[in-house]
Amino acid sequence: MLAAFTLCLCISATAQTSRINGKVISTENNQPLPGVSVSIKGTTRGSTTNRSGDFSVVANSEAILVFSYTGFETTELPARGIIDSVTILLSPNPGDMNSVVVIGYGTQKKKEQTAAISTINGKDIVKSPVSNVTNSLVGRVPGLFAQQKSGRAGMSASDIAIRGRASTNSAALIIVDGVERQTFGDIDPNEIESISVLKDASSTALFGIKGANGVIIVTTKVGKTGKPKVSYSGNVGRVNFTQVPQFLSGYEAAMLHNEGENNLIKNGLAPSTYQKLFTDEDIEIYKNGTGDPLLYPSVNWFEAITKPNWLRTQHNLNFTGGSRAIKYFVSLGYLYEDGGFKNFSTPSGYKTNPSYTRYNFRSNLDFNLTPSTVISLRVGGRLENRYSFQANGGQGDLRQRFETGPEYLMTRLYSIPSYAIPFFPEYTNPTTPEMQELDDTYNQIEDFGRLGVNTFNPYAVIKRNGYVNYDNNAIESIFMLDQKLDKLIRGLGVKVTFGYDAYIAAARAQGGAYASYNVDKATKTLVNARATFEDPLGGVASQNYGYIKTNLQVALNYNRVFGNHTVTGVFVGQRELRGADGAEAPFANEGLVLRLTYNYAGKYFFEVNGAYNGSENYPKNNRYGLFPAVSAGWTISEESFMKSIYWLNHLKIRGSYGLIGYGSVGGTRFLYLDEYSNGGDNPTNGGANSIPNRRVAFGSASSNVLYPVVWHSRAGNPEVTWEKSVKRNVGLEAAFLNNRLSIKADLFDERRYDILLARNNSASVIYGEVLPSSNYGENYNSGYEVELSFRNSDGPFKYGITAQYTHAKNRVVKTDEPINLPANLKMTGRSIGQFMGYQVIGFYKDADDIANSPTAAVAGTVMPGDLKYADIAGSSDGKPDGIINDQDRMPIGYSDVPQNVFGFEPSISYKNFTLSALIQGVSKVHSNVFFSGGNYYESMLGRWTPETAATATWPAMRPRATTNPSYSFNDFIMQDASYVKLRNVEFGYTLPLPLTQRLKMESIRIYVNGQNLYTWTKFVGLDPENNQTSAVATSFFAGAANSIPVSRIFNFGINVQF
Amino acid sequence: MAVLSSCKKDFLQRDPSVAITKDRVFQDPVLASRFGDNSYNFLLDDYGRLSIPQPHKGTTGQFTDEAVFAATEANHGIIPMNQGNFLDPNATDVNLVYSRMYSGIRNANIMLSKIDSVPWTSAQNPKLMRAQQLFLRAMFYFELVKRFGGVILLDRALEQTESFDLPRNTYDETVAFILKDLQEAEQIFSTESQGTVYTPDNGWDQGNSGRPATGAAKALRARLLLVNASPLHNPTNDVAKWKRAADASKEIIDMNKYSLHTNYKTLLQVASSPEYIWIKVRPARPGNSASMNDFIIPPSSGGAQGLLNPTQNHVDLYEMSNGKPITDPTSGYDPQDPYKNRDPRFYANIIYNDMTWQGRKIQMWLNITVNPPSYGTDFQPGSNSYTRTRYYVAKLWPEAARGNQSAAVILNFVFFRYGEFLLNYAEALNEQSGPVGDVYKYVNEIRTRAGMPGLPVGLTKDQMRERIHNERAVELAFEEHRWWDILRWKKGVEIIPKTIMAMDVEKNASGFKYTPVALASIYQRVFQDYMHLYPIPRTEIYKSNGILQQNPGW
Repeated sequence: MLAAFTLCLCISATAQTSRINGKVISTENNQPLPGVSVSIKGTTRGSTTNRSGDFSVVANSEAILVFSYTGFETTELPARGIIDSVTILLSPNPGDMNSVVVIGYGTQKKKEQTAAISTINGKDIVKSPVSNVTNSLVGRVPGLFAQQKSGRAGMSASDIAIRGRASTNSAALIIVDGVERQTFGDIDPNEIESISVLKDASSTALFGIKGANGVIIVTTKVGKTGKPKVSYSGNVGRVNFTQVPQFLSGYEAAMLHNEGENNLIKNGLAPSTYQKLFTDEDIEIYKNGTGDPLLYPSVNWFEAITKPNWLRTQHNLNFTGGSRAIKYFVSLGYLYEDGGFKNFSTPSGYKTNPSYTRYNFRSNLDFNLTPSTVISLRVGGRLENRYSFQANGGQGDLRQRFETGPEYLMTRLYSIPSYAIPFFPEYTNPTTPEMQELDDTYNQIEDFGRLGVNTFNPYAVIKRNGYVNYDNNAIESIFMLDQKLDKLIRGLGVKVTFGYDAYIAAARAQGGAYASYNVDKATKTLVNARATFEDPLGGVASQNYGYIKTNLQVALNYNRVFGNHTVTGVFVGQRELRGADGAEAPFANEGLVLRLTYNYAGKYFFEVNGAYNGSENYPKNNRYGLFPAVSAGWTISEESFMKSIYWLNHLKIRGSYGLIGYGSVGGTRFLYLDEYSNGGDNPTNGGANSIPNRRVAFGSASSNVLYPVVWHSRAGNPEVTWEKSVKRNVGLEAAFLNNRLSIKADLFDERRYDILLARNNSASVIYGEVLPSSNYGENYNSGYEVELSFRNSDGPFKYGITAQYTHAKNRVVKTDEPINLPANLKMTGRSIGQFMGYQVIGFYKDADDIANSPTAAVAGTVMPGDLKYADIAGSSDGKPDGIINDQDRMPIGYSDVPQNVFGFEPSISYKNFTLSALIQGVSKVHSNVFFSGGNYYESMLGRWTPETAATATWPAMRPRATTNPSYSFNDFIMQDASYVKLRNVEFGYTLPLPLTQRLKMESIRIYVNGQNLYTWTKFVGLDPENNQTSAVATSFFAGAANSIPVSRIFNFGINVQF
Repeated sequence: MAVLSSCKKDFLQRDPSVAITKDRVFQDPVLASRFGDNSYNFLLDDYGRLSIPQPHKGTTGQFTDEAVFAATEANHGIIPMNQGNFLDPNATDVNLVYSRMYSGIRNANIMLSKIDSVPWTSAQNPKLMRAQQLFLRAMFYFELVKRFGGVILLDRALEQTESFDLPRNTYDETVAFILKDLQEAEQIFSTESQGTVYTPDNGWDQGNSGRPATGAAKALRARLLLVNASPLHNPTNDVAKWKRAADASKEIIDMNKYSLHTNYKTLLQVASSPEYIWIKVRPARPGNSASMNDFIIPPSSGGAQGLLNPTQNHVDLYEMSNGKPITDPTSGYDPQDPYKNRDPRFYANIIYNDMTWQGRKIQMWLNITVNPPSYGTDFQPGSNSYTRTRYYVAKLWPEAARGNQSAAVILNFVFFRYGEFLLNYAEALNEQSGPVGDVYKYVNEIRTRAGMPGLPVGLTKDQMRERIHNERAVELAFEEHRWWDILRWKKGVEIIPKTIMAMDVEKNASGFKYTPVALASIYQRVFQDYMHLYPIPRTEIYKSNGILQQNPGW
């Protein structure tokens, strides 16, 4: 505002010599830039560009023209070389201190900030050709831990944690255009103007009871004054999996299986009468490759049913422009992502390949009704179709069936050895009834006697088991009235925001059953193994879901400058009601928000932020909490004594301190309710002990009477409250060398307390009942983040580099565990999610070694070549007790969330060419994904044998699916999930302006880019980002959720503006 | 803003209403008595009950020489006990029983504390409610004392706010506590009535049959006093303790209310029997129910897993039908025709090779004369879903129960039956007075019912003890007695680590060749003297600030 005032004065002062005409164009989109200040260096004279970006200025030949515009690099140009007219290209400068950043309930100039906030621009977001916007944040924002855990089409959102985690649930609050939303991943990236990440107490206190995990604010684009512009962007890409398990061939797998069985017999772990799966002759046939593929299959099932690469395409068309009265941004988007599985023709006619299709729509309108009244409308909608074959048919909730289907198939597939089920690709996609017959028999062999229970033929599943279709419709709308009340009180305004969102989802599924076959080895004929035959698909099952959400905010804004004193204030009353699926109670919250800021002469900044808000989830007298934060900043470089340091452009220190809450913990709501229930389920007639809270049978077995019972069904805690977080932050910002080099560093910590835990592990069971959740857990999280950036925008050759590094480490201060738990088993003092397991000290050499070592009492009986675990504890004084059992587990490795994340973003441009890259990585992270019990993998070829004992890299073989002491979770089997990824590369070329103009267009840019292009990691099996939580530690493949490898994308695209 | 604040209270009031509050439960006699009935659900009331993933699998007989558990995963609760790792988290009979009993105790304690404030109507008799809760609390404490010795005694429900870190009461205090509860329960049961629902003479009416009454209270006392008199808790062999035990059992005989079921074979498989003192009433079990299909019946009979496999050690305990042990050279035992002329209870309890079962011959043989070896349908060498010992249990497998078929059969879990107390009396009396007439009388009553000749006259006290111990092993086989008998006799070190044997059955041209063989190491057991008492679950010790003391040795 001050700047504009100055400019008005300048215009009136005019002088002589020559008149220079020109046009200012943004390098961002090759659009003319209106409102750019064009001044003559060393004078107060100058001009501004008009709506077409044109300017006209009078200057003498010695003058130097300075072009400056908020958010862009300031550029200087000597007048001497200018003959008549000139075109100036201005590059955006996100580091510009005058640029405006979206914060909670408003905006703020960067230079006025006292809080820890990072921003990412829309143009960086679109660099990543990903279908879920969360994935494009990876590595671009300091303090943001984002991990893409799946490569499944339409299901690939990243888990995001801001500054690591301070509690088990670390999900950040998401705000889109000022209104809370459940997700932002499905927004078309072309609609996004910016994303702000609010990290410290000062920036998040406004969100009170919801803010403690940090806040992500997404702002969509709005129209800008100017002539209508149409832009189209389209791209098409090839997708494939980054890293897939390396399965062994039929021969290798059979050979290892046989070796495993021999090991059992040799070591007395199986009786001499043990029937082996393969005879020596079988192994020989496998080795020679002469076996009938029916009896001696060698099938890589992963390759059999997935594609080597598949298609992804995205298109967006948007219109933007505006006049004095109205500004508009209208966008239409389309995205299609193929699913990575092969499309086999199915007898029932459904498609086997999953897919994700999304249509996005947005209309953002601003009406300037009067000079002091703006009415705005933000309507965003999307229609998403997700489709998949059905593998996990048992789920009653069709959404769940959809969400776990392909993952479930993959977990099973990973445990099918190549030798187990034959597959004849030549029979697939049959064209004749005869071929159909072959396909429906020879490709539906399920029980080959080599697999065991709970396994299935993956091809038969995707071909015959049916499909699930999941549609999701969302309308998210916001109506705003912004009324300036300067006439009442100067600087005062009121803003009313009403958000209305409607979500309707529908799932539709058809399931099928299929015949499965056994092979009669002698006759090579097929025997029906299951009583079902080729059933057509069952009836259509459908379910609808949905809810409505309303949000009302009434805000008073005050913004006034009194000489050197700038005062702003925001006071908001806010209320939200979000429906829930089914009969569940809606979610409600309301409260008051206050922000006061003061700065003196742009040097000293003070801010108070706070919220008094509440949630439906707490007892009546305990629903509201007060969450205050204070912060201050000192821009040292504005002090007069600093002005002489010419190489220092900016230096500021700032700090914040405050209390924030987190109330959406856990799945159970209304924990204060105490309830008894009446009735009870019938007792089982299947035996086992009676189950509490069921009806009790009396009478006799032949004529019994069931007596209903009453039981304490909910143990309520009337004192229950939200988690609290005290956050501190100290930050330093500096810019040097004409703003080319800048640094931003933050030191933070957080004490999270009142964490809800039930005392079920720490309190004696003699109490006799489950204890209610109470607020007593405590964690501490601390770390730092640094961002360094260097950019040189002078001349045609521009280059820049941004590097960022975040370290966050947490520790459990108080949790639900026994007071005298031995130190090696304690979680207190360790990171949340710390992996616990056995420490491996080598292989058992031989029977003598086993006999002379501590007794192994882990699952399974040890034999030579098994991993030997350290006996570290177990006796009552905490010393080794000569027995290796669960008492000897100890912290191994790190947790499943990395302690360090870093990003490195170089970019260069020369004239119309641009090249940028993003290298991102994490360290100090482990995973319990390991490929062991169910199948034979490449890594097992290095197994221990008496001959290779010295060089072995894997324990001695046992047949698959037998209890293996070496697979009790340990630090040998645990994987280091650190990685460095070439996360993103983009090479772009903007067609020369004359050519573009000849085509009657404003600009044309073509580019190639890619995501997840290369990974450096020690992790084997899947992508290191597919890593798992520490919850399950001993199964072959822990959990199904992340079983589809992360995907890589090569993409080609074009942006055109009319 | 005014709008916002004016209706705040209503706006955040979203919780669903609560079905029933605690106050209402105990102001309504119907709800209150239902709360009391839930105490029954905490009993240990079936044979198969030890496995974590499949709670219908695993019985305590599989801790002993009675049977093995075919599957070898530790989380079925058997392997850790076999290996002496009672502290293992998978040792469910230690961990889960400890917490389950205290849950039952809490329920009973809450009910007992509220009984007097419930506005009962004339349709209920709160004293009978009280007696049931006292009896159940005694049952829960009995399950604890027989495992752990003295435990923490709670005669009221703990408040959340108080410390749960309490010291253990002594063994004697625990026994006294149980006896006191039983005394009061028995006094009520033997005097109070409730219309036609309960009378002291006839007990509960038909619809309430299965609730305990006087006989059950006496039976629990008799069993407790037998434990109390046995070597584990009677190191000085105090005869007075044996006398108390004998007298307590004799009281049941003297009630003249119970008698032996005539057919030993159907003992557990009838809706009612004069032998039953107290049983768990439950609906009949379908052949394809979890406990039958997944624990008792092997795939060869249509089930999924036949995991309860009697050992050769157990089979060898059955005498010949002439009353002589098979170790007696004059018994007529033929190792190559081992199943001929055995105690009739052998045929009632055990399924063996070549017997006729469900209309066909059982085939548990292996034929190694052909290559590859062939085997009978009821045995598979590599599969733990089939018997590891060449035996299954007929007693817990009503012949009408077909695997994978829904036809239901009765199989009662018997808490107390008259036959046990004849043996309890004989055992205690023999210890008290030697093999006097009553000892012979009641053991022989059991043997006669089974179709066995009486015990030879002139046995010494020690010989009589051995015969009674053997009689219990056979008569009470698979009914959850063997393990507890071994522990109270303090004979774990002698019996448990003995090599567990199976029968190898080879088929050849002339018939079958029977060879007892040792089972694989995973089925062999470890036992040391301190294991006669279970350890307090390790996590409980960890939770205590040094106040809760572990049993010696652990």
